[in-house]
Amino acid sequence: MIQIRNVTKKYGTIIAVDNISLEIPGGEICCLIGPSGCGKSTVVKLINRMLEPANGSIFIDGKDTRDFKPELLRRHIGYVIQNIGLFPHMTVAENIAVVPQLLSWNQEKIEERTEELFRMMRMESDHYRDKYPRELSGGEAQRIGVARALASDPEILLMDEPFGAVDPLNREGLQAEFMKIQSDLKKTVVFVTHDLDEAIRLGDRIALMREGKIVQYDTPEEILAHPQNRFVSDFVGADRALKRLSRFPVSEFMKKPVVVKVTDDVDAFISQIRKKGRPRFFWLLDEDERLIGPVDSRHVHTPFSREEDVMEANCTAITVRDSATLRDVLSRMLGQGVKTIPVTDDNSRLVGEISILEIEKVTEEAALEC
Amino acid sequence: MYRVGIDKVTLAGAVIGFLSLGFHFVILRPNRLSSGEGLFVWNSLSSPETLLLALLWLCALGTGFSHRENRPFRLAPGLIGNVILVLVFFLTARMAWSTTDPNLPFLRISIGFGGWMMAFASYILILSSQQKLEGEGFLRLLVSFSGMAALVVLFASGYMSDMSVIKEFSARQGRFLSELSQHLILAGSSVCIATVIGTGLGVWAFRSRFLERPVFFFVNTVQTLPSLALFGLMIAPLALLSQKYPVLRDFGIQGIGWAPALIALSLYALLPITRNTYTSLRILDPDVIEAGRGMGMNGLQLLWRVEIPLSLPIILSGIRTALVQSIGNTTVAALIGAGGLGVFVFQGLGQAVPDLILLGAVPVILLSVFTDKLMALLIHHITPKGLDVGQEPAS
Repeated sequence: MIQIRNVTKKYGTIIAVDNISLEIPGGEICCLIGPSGCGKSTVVKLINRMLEPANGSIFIDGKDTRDFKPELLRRHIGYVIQNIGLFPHMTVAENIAVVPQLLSWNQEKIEERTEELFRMMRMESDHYRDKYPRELSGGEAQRIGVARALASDPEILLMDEPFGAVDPLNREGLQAEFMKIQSDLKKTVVFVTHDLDEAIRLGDRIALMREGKIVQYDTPEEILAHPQNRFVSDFVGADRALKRLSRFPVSEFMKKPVVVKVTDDVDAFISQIRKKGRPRFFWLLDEDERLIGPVDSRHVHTPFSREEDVMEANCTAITVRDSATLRDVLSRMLGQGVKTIPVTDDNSRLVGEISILEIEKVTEEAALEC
Repeated sequence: MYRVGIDKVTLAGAVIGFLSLGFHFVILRPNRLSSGEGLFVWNSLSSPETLLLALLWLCALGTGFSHRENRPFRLAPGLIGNVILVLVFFLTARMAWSTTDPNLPFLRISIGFGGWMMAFASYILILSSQQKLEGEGFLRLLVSFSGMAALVVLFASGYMSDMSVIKEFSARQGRFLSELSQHLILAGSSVCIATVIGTGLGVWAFRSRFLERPVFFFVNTVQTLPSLALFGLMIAPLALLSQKYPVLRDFGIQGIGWAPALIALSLYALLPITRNTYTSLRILDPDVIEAGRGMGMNGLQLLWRVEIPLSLPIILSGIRTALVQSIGNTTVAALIGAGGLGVFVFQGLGQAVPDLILLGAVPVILLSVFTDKLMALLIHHITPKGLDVGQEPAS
């Protein structure tokens, strides 16, 4: 847990951080976001004492950071910066080993930890360990940057726009990987970004800053549903309802689908649901439970014909994965002009369906709260 | 398929080689001071030897005109060049030793303008091959040093002892060694002093925005002064000092001699070292420094683990420039009584004995080349593998 209490930082007469207080619970990601010059990077540098505050104090797990020598403090706080700053004269493995070496670990332990980090980053150790930073791509270098920060297994990770210099496609990959790693490690992370989508995606909490002050500190859902003032609502944008949807994983809202295997007696199934009158649509699966397509029970031949009665023969265009968010779902629905779409898992087996009604329910909740 | 093309460097060497045939290959003098008589290749050598030389130059010309990107063609100019280089010295030396005329007991035989020009042209061929053999360790070494090695063996065996330059050397062996060591001491210690002051100035100029301009104004101005002028400028103040404080004279500090030379040489060596130190700090990536600090390195650790490994190669290449420059400048220092190999050059000039000039000049050239290569090798080994700056092939 990090507690920032009434901290102020001045550069000459300019107040970079103005009497802020912030409490970041252990194991959570707190995203600091705001327009450039709002003091978000300064806050991070105050935590590991790269900068010293004019007033106030910062506690880590209840201990005042001023009780430690700055260097010793920093060796127990992971630090990732935007331009990574890998040491160009050291190999990848040597870069990762810097902090363990500063902490005088023995060689065996360092070696073990390095291998562990390569595995964690899903990078082939033999391929990368003896390379030099200039031989790495931007995304690879950034992963090594994160690995280096995690080397001594610190409880706290400070990340100052770590993915800012990476192209959008790679950035999403890095974010997803980071979330996967974080779900195992449960570090306390302070993450500076200027990208709202990134903050919404990664943050357990978001602290929106402006001119050295924290304007609103809340969960992403709350910030999007209830912006505290005009500045916040302008900052999160008119599409905040849409952005908010990206906080909701489809797996929590999808319903059990009505399915029939192509090897079963489809005609019997159709006459059965016709008698009941609902549901009108069902999903046809192949012998391996993979999705073939939707079927409208009111417009089928008797006997049922797989070739003619499946509405959408190639339904990958309307399918979403179970890792998607409601925002992805809505976008897919609008793009394809459908109101219900199937959800599949890693092996493209059908695990659920979701319709626009469920999405409306989620947005209505927010509207009611307003 | 290899593309056949023109190799300009080899061609230039071959053309100069052919032109050299138009000048006197050797010079015969009745004694060391008289002006003597020049002989062309065909007057001084037997016909098969003349033919051999002509044939070698024709081969060089041929490879220059029909260059192919394969190993034999990259090797050929270098081998031809080495053979010619050795031949120039070998044939002259043989002539010197075989020509004994009882009427002319002080006969001197030395390489003439044409001979030197031919040696120079053969070196162009060697350079041309050296460039093309980048990365071919053994072959490159062979091309670079086989001729030189043969010459050293030739010299050591005493075969060349009848050549005029060598006679000048034998007459002054003791003096030569003492001036050589004086030369090395002057050049070396001036660069040592400049290294201490220059790195300091470089760091200073980097740290302080106000000092950057004056520091560089100073070192740049020193560099633009002609070396002779700077040596001259040192004389007056030092003479005054030693007059006022006679105790200085006991240490040999006076208007002329090693003291003004050392000061002037040190001043000269400042610019490359100061500039490279400043640049090496300038291009240190601030993100790398921030990362180092952020990971918990203290000032000393940052210096040893990050700043020095990253900037040392650049500082060293400044020292390399300074050293080569200093070895050359020290020659001029002989004029103010500082000694060094320049002594022979100026004596030779005064007495109009070209071979004495060579006795001073050739070792200076060899020293510069050797030092340059040695420093290149050192820098190559000290540069961390991950860096692409300062990475120069050792040759």
